[in-house]
Amino acid sequence: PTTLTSTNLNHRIVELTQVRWSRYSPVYLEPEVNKEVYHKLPEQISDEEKAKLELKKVRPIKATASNVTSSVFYDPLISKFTSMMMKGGNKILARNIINQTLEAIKRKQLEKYHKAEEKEKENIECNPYTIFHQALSNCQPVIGLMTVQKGGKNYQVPTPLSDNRRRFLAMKWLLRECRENKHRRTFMHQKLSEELLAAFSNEGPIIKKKHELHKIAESNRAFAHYRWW
Amino acid sequence: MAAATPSLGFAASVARLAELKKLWGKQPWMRPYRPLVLANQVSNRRLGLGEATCITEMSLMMASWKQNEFSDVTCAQETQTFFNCAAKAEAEWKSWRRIMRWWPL
Repeated sequence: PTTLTSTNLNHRIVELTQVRWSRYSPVYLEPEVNKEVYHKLPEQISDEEKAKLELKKVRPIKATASNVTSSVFYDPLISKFTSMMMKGGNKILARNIINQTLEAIKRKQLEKYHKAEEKEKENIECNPYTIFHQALSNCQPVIGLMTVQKGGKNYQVPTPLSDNRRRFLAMKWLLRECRENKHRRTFMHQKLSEELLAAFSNEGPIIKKKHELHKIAESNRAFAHYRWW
Repeated sequence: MAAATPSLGFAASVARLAELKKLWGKQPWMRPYRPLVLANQVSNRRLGLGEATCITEMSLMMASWKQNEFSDVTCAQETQTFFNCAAKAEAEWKSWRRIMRWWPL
């Protein structure tokens, strides 16, 4: 994020001043954590990637964040979700809840799988990671609402949302639904697995909330011209 | 105080005038903050507020929502075009030119 300050304007040189600082200068490159990139044969590397490798030889590289690994089991979306679920810095508890959730999803799907007939067995998804990804992408809203003041009144104006914002809203709704609208004596992993399986099949309260947001945006589409960005 | 350009003729005289006009410790009313050179455009010309982006794609998507009862699967095509438009608009918003347009030059 950058700001234009008034002193810069006065000198007619519009410089952008950094508001948030980084310990790394812009020279530093991002680290490549994916192991498969390094196992590629020289013939399979494209020209762009070759140029990138040449650049990497002469530039310093940032240190990887502590929640990023090159393990086979690392998933950036699950890592982000555990960080959002964490309270008071207790990442171990959040990570355990996620593991129990994935196990619960797997158990439920396997139960369904073994009870189903031969024809339906192909349609049942047992991989908890794909269920997690699909459920979250089903929960993501397509369009958002922003309050714009015009003529003294506040209007809810439909606006496009960035990918990060949509992903954040899906995860936030999921967590809020599980924390607030369930019986207090149920375990978090149980609540989460129920909600994720419902969202995977496009049912449940979070999908309903998303559809309600879309409906309000659709009814307010006349106010879309109140945007100026 | 004085501008840092080589052609100081008018600017230097203005600066000197400012110093001379300093009566009773009061500030002079004119100081040469900018180089006193004619610009290519008039200042105080505020370009109007921009218009909303991606309205056509949004209206197409909402029309398909109304027809198909807000289902995501059947409206996937329109949704994708809307996302592409939104991504382009955001890239332009963050780019240099869009930032320049906001400020009176």
